Amino acid sequence: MTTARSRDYTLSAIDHHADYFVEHNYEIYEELRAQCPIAHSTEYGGFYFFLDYDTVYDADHDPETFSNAPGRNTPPGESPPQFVPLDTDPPIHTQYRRIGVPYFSPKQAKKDEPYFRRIATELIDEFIEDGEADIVGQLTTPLPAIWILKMLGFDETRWREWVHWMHTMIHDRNSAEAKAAQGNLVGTVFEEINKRRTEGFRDDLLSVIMQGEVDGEPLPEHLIFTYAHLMLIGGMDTTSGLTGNALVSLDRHPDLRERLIREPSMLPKATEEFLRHDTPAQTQGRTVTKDCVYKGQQFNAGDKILLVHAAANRDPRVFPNPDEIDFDRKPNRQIAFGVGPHRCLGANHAKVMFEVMISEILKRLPDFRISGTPEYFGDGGDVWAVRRLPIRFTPGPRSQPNSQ
Amino acid sequence: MTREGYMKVQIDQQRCRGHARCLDIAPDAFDFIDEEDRAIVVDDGVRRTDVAALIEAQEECPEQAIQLEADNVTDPEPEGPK
Repeated sequence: MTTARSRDYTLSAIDHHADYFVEHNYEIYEELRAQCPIAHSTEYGGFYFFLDYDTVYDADHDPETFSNAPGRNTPPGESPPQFVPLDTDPPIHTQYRRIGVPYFSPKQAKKDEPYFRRIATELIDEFIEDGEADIVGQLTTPLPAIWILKMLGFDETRWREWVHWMHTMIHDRNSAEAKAAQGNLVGTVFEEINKRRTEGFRDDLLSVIMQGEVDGEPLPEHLIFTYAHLMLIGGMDTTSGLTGNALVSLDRHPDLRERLIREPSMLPKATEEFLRHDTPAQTQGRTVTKDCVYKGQQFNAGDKILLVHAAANRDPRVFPNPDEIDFDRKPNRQIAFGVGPHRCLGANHAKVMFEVMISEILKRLPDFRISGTPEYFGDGGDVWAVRRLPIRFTPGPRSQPNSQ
Repeated sequence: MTREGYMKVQIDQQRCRGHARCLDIAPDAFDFIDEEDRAIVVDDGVRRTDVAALIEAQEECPEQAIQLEADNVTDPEPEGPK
């Protein structure tokens, strides 16, 4: 960055939830990494950033030392709920994960592609004649939200409400509005759980979760809730984040856009590269379980760790010229979805949705340009993503007549 | 005669975490067990897959779970028009 803006942070006290982090995250990672691949922050009572590829990768594969049990986030918050499967460790983690995993397989994601394309087409129809849109608010946010609500068996036409609740809870976590949003979300999910208890199970993911068993027992009510809630969090935020971030990159690099239009078969490789370069889920929290030495550094039981997958994806020793977007990068073992037991459950669907959205945008509004300042979510420490992305383009025809 | 260029492919089931990159790169050579969240090798498909694609699948696997070995076995019957 060549901006003259003065630095408003101290390297030894980085707060990943602060405003400055949203704008300077990647500079901060590089400055910290230049000192040490394991960096300490004095914020929140002290915690560590793991920054380089090997340090993050090996910790992801060592759940016995780096635990996902509740309280793993920095700050942990008051009596943090246990989101399953995420906030558990193997071996029980495997049992929780198995309940949902068949519904997120690569084959299922491929089967869902025509559905994603239909939704994308309908959403683009809504603004294609206007020549302008907030592409994040009008396409990349609703598509994954509509899908995950439909998966769970909720009324997907209410996606706007759900998105508002989720975004308020994730990105404005300490506001009074977040409390209200949480109340609405909890209430609505429990309504759905009760409907299935009284009216019988249906062909949907919530029913699958409710019928799932761990150690031969059904999940208690509060874990049915957090399982469903986790699906909503994963579904509603990160895929849109990736797509919005990638659209910013495509706007900055006309050559990349040209290439994708000319060579649509490059899209899967481009997807991996956008995941690497524009990683939406920047960090994952862990708690150290025992006094130990890891990568030459002493840790104590209870220490808080942030595995910074976004920084690992820019590790220059693994990805030469890491800040450059190169669709031909080979190999590209990016870890935006994490590695090891907690690999993102929705990864296959996220990639298909991303590819559908990017290909539909490049087909129907290939000359889009960002027409205002991209607005990021205020807190980028967990999910770093564009909230609003105004664009202009040459208007085009609807693909289906307006049914309204 | 040896089938030069053929490969023996194995997936370390302890390492595979179902990223499914191999299915994208070499769709004939790999299949997926949905319930177990892991990839498996399809032996017939391996023979129909370019060695370059198998190597790429190995190199791109985020868990480094794919092992390749040259499979220079002798064919019992020589190939050719009958």
